Amino acid sequence: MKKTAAQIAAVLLFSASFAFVTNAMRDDRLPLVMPFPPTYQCASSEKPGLPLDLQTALTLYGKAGTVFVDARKSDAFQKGHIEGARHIPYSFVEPLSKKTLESLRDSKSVVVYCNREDSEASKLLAGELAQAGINGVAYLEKGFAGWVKAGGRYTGKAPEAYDE
Amino acid sequence: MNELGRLRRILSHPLLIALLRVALGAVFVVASLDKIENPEAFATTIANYRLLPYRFINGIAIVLPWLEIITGTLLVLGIWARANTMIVCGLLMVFSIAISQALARGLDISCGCFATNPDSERMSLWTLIWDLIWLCWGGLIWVFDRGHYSLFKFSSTRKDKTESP
Repeated sequence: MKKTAAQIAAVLLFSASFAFVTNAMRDDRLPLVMPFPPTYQCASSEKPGLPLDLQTALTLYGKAGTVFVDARKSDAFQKGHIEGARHIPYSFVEPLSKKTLESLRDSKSVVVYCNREDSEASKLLAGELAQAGINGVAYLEKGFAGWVKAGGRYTGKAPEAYDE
Repeated sequence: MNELGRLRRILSHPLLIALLRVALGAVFVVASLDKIENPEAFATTIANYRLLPYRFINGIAIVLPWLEIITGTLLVLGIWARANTMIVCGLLMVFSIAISQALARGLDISCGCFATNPDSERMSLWTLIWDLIWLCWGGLIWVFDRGHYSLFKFSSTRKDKTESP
């Protein structure tokens, strides 16, 4: 059994080393870490959610058919969020359920946000919603932090005090 | 008991086990070729499963096809057959889990088992069944393989023949 374990370790080690060396020598080599945004079948790269500037978002707020979606984790949402926003936390490993998608199907505009402008989650969620055929999906430029600075309505704490 | 004994004798026949070992190894070699040719497409195929944080995906897309072709080749040649069968069975278990979770979550994706083209055949229950068949196949090899018809056996037999007067 010890011998078999050693052989398994040798094969795994040799394969991994060989694979990385071969990859490094290729013209079409893969970066060791997949860059953002990740490419997958429901990819935002195919049909991205568009960016939405703060002024347009403030104009849309409260209008019939407009839904604000908070893509952050539960604890961040609990601390504070845009008033009336729906909480749909984004997770790469957890695709959106059909029930969630159906609940957004009749919306005219869906504004997805995170805390900051450079957040990955809101862009990815917006892309995924757009790819699933939801109308008018966009992610909020400047995020929740920008929304609060621009005088947008929110409940709980302002986001400066905490990260995503 | 007699029937069971007969079944065991058939299943453990060295020629049958060697054929199963070569076939399973060949399956892995064939499965790896398109993935090695198109690493980026294979990375996308893995990402479609939505099973791992995307930052880890490229590493797996780089290593997995080479692990498949190396273990597959060693299995075909019968080199370190038990160790390589265990690796292959481990991989098949991981594939089964990945396929099961994708089916359970209703992901409409291609399995990427033999082709990295995302428009190739969609994953279905049959994909999982085939995976489990190969897993049982690997189990048989692991239990009954005694190194017959392997490269080591051939070379040692030839050596014995040349050394004998």
